[in-house]
Amino acid sequence: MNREIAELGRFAEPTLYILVSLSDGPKHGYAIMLDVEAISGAPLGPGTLYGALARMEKRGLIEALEPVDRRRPYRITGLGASTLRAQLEGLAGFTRLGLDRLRGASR
Amino acid sequence: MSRLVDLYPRAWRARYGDELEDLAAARPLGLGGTIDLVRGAFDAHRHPELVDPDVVVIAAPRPVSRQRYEDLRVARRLGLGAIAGAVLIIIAPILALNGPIVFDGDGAYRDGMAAWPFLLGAMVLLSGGLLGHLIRLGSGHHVARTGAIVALLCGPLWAFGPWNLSLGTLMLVGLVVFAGAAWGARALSAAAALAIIASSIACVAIIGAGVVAQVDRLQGTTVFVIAILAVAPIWLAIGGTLHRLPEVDDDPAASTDAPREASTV
Repeated sequence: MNREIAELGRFAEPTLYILVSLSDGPKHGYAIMLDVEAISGAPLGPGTLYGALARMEKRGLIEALEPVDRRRPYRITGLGASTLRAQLEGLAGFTRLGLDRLRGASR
Repeated sequence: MSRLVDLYPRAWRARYGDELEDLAAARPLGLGGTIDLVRGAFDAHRHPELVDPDVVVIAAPRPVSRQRYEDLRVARRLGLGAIAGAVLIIIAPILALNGPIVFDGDGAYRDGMAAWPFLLGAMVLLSGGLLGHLIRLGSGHHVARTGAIVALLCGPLWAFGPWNLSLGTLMLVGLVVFAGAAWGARALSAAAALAIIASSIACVAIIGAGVVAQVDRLQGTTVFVIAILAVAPIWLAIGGTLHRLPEVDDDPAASTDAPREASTV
């Protein structure tokens, strides 16, 4: 796992989901929550969501935009996008390796 | 959920509180979400560095009428008295623990009479603090007011017979009811409510353990002293939440006698 994300401990997985969610444009907390639920199939609790958002903001992976009413949208930063890309490429390589080995074992 | 958000640190609430309220309005939390939010509050306290402290916004109390301001000044003085009572409630058990050992037909016991004036004084000052909260709460808040009145009456009575555990227990029950209801009505901070409830439970648990263990009279004094020390934070929580005064608004149409200023403690 990418070091930037791995250092987040129990927030590492939610962070990855949130980065993926924000990769197609800014979203506010509730929209992120719904999107992550749709992507992962599991609900994302508000405590975990905002614990992850605070850490991501602190590390410069995302930035907060001006709030609209009570809803503050978040946007992925350049660092966040490059971190997400590196993480997904790492996972893709890991997936290819695992599938190749499975094919080799089944022959 | 809004009450659960109060469990988060002030800086954190100032930064993310509105957004969490928005989530609550959009969808009910459920049990899992509630547990997640409480867990998040613990995490936020462990990592205060995650939120810039400069975002802290201390809400100004709403202006009140001149009469209400004078009432709140009285409540504030009663709160200062309750804080002084914390000193007395710490001195009392120390004196009791150092009292002379007396022998009677049933064996030895420690004479704690020297502590009695301090215990009574502490209870009277706590009752004064609770009276201050009754002034501050104003009308309404029936459950919180009932709990405060029960504690206010039982405390001094208990001081006349500290071994009568039923009066002491009733006082603690009253305090827990007051703290829970006032917290629920946003009239008491989460920290103060938690201090009152946790101290009351700790006191009952310590005395309960002594009763179950069937300690003798000498050991009973030690158990009692530890239990009394455990409740000292209650005096600070009661008194410390009465110190803040709102501004006076001399325009009677703009000011309010509603105890809204209470929500900012």
